Amino acid sequence: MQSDVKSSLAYAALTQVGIIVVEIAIGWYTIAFVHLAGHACFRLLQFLSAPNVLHDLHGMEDAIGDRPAPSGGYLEAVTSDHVRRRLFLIALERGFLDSTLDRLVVEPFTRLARQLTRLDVWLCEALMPGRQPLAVDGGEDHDE
Amino acid sequence: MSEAWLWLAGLVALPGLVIGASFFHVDVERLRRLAVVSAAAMVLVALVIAVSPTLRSISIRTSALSWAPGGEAVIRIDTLSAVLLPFGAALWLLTVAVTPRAALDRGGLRRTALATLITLASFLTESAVALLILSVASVWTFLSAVADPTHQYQRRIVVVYLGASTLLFGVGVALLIGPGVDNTTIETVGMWLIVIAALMRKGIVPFHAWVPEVFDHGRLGPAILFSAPQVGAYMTVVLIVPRASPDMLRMIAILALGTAVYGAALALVQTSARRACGYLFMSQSALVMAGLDCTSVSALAGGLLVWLSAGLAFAGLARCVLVLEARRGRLDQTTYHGGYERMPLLAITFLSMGLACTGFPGTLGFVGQALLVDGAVDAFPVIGFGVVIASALTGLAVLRMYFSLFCGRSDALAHSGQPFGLTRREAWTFVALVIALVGFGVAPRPLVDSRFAASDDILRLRQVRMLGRRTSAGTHLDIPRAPLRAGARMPPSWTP
Repeated sequence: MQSDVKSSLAYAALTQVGIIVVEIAIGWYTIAFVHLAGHACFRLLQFLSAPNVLHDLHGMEDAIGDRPAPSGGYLEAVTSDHVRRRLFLIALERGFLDSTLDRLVVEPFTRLARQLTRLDVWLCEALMPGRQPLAVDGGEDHDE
Repeated sequence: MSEAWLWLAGLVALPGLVIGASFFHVDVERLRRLAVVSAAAMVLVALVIAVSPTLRSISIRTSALSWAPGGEAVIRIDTLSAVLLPFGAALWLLTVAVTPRAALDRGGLRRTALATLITLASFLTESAVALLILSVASVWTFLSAVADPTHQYQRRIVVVYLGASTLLFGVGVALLIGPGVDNTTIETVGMWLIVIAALMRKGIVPFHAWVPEVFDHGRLGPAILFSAPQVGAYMTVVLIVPRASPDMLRMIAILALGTAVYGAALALVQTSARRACGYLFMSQSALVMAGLDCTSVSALAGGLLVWLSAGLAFAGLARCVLVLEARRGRLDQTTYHGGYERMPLLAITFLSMGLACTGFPGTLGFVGQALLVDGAVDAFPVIGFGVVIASALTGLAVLRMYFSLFCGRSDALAHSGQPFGLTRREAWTFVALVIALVGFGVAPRPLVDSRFAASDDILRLRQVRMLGRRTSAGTHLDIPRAPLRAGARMPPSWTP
């Protein structure tokens, strides 16, 4: 479902890494090693040749004056337009992982940390009222 | 006078020379040059003492300050303190070499030399009374640095926290050194008071509020020199670890692990670079404390290593912030300042120090943190992972600081017209510090061996005390799991 070739390759690499970890967990160390080495070589070739493939495709498009006829189309035949658009959006946004992490982890974490910082400042002020306004110029804070 | 005493006298005479010269009307820049040369010579002398077994034979024991049988060593150099001497000297060298010219004054140079002398004297003694006197002296030196009217608020906070810490330490020592207090409630109360004093001095939660406040609005230079040597950790190792019950050590370690995560998490969201430094210090300092209280050889050795790596790396990082402040004014992290192109060396140094704080592979910090994680997870299977979380959060905080302070704007727009380059003295000092951190990270064996030897000595002392206590009390006490290994060294299979 990815819209660019390098994202597709990256997700494909993730799949293989998952399988390699499973092999290690099962104890098939030799197979895992062979798999890892083979995968590294093959994926490296794919990453390096991806721009060439795209270049060839563009050349082909220039030569025929149009996009090549789409192949397959099975998925399009069995899913509605609405579902296809939703799936495309999910793929384009990488499964909304970043925004989900932001909402569920990063924002609560930073909010809590800021509140704790305020608590620390309040603790000092409660203990020692009469804080002076902050000197803006760091040069006033002589080092030694 | 033996050769060892001559070397020790030389060690003490070097800061003494700077203190003496500061009372004469010497030009400040010339006095700084004298201080830099003295500090460099002190590093060399301390290194010679650290690597030479014959020079480490010094010990003066006296019964005048303690009722303990055989007395206490008022001055001694052992496996623990041998490495701490060059560490303290290096911090002095870093301080005098990179202090901005505008902030340089005769009183400040005198104070740094005096603070170094007090720190080294603390590392040379195991006497509780001597440590108390030196603790009072170090707090007084720190207070004299914030005596000016613009820092009255911070001075009051330091007086409250560190004054209370010193008072508790004094009462604890008074209870501990009395006759016939072994295995009594008085001894336990005394030790708890010393523990609270050490926690306050190191800024462990919930006694931490003074640290970010003083780093943020106080004077950063004296705060670094007071905090980075971590004399509170030394108090813990010498006075608490050998005689504390496993429950007491467990509680300190849990508090320390919590502080490590807390400090790193709060450093991540600060808008002031100084305040972020304060929280980072809290986190690093707590990691050391956690290692010291896990009572396993690897955790203790890891804690002792993190003590050195975090002390040097953190001091370097905070000094980078000061050097940058001298060129740009107060640094806030709400925007991207840019300027990497004009001061790549400072930027790279800052990043290297920060990564050393996080335990990045190839730095000394990695070696310490690897051992610390191993020992902490062994002692606390769940909350031991706090070390890993703290390291990860520290890494994020350091990168955020780096991006904010050095990246994001083209050089032409970033503070144009200001001279940004480092002076040659600053550049050499920072480069030397990075080389030391990376060098010991790539070839850590001598240092790791020495820290394993020190942790073995500490745990052996603890085991002997515990066995003596069990014999005299006739009850069973939980003896630490660490095996009594003569001359224990880094495991042969262990590689960084």
